[in-house]
Amino acid sequence: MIKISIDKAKAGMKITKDVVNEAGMVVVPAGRELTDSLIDKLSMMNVEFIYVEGQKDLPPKEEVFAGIEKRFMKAKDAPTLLIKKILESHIEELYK
Amino acid sequence: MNVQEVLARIDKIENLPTIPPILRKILTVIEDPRVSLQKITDFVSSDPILTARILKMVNSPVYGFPGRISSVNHAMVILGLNAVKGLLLGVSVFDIMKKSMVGLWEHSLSSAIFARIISNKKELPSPEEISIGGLLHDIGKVIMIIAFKEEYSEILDSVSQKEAYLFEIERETFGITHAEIGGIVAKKWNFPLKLVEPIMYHHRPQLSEKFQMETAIVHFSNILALARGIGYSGEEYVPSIHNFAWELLKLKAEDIQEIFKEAEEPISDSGEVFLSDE
Repeated sequence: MIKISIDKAKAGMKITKDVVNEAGMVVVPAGRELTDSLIDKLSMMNVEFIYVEGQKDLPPKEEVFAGIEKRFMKAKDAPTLLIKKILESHIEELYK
Repeated sequence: MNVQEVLARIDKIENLPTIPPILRKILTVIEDPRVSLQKITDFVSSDPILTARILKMVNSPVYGFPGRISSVNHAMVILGLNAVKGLLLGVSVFDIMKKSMVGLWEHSLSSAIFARIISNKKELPSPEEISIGGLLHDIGKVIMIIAFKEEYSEILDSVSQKEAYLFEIERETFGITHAEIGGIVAKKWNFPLKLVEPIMYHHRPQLSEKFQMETAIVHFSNILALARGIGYSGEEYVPSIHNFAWELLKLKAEDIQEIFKEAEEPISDSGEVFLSDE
């Protein structure tokens, strides 16, 4: 599931989370497929974001890890190295 | 250049030709120590660009307020005077950040997000104010760009080549760092100490006096934002977390893992909101 702004929405995308209006009422239920007229309707209702099926565009994992290595080049103390280790496992999770 | 010369130029920053008009305009309002919430509300409401930016900010994932805040009045009530003053300064330096130091805005936003999440984790009463501290912690860099554009650009370029921390090179060159300069102007502009200390001491949290926890959080948020590699702050290398802040925050490994996880969505969403600006 990814979150996209309404101007990036395209017909055929599948809604994965109920779209609600300002009063909190469900206007498009999860599972519905977007159509051009539905997108227009949502824009008119000032809906800014929707959740649709898909994978986030992530940069190549090796690149991300190389960046972390470089940024932490000067860190030698235990707490900062712990932060690095936690960050690496967090990034690992993002690619699962 | 010595510290006195640097401070003298910073002291007259309002008169420098390089200061953007929107910032000059805002300073006349926030510098007044007795300014009321009503006066600030009227001031913001009279300016459509400011109104749009303030509303965009309070409705952004940086704060994560439930529901939609659609009036300046409502935003002011939720945030309170201090946070609003800080936020005004933040949105007014947005243009310089975007033009003169590409990536600094994103770094500032992600620091603000980390600061809010950590403040919530520590169950502090006003996470929004501390988050503003995160948003403004590098305001000194903006000031340096306004006051010493050429010299500062050279310093920024030398970071990779020297493999040094930016704040160290600043001290060698100017005798003072962006953190202290930010703190000095924040004081001059009558910001509350709760914002001044985190800005002034975000690289030396052990020197904070009254707002040690707030300062430690902003110090740590900056480190996490740098570690995650969001935006560009001029700093290429992650500085070590100071032991004083580490001991004070007492965060466990699981806490830090959760903080990274919780920050992920607001960080990528806020990037999208503000890149498509105006």
